[in-house]
Amino acid sequence: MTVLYVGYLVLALTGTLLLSRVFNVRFSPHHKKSVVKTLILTAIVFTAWDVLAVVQNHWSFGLQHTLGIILYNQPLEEMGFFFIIPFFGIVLYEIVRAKGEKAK
Amino acid sequence: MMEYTIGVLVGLILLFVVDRALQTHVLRVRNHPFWFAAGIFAVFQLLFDNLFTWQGIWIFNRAEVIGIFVPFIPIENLFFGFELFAFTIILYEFFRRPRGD
Repeated sequence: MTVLYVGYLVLALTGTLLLSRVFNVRFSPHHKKSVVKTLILTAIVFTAWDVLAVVQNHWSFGLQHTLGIILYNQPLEEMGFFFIIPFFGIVLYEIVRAKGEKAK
Repeated sequence: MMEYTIGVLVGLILLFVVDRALQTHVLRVRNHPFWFAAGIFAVFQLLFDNLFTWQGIWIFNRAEVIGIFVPFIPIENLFFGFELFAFTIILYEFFRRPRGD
């Protein structure tokens, strides 16, 4: 058991929050709700894909690099991954969009 | 055999169907900011997914992919990441769109 995977998640979340600060990404209350709905739905769909993929042996996890908390066949970190990476995606998309608006 | 390959291809088709059904038009507009963001996303993905695979956090079954690796991750995983990002942005555009009600 190590904190390698969870460490990368913390790094990704910290990087995303830093990015959103540096580029001044702000979400209105309506947009915040949209972000939450998006993240929940995305996490459900891709965790379902992941569960099936592990059952079918498309891939597996080096469990020695995780905290060892497994839900069905998913390490806890993998589920966190499907919240944090889409959140990074939204922040990245908002930065690109804002740059595009400015250029117009 | 190549089940992961088939999976990402089916996923790609489903993405276009969802984008059309929700009328978000993220994938249909060529100069949509989504595409530029997807390029940057892919660079981060290449770095981190290769790191994860190299360190053995993720282990891909070589029997279920077509056999193209960039350089450690199967090309299918690049599609998986693209689909994760595209699905996120399609939903985000759908939810944040102002509604008439």
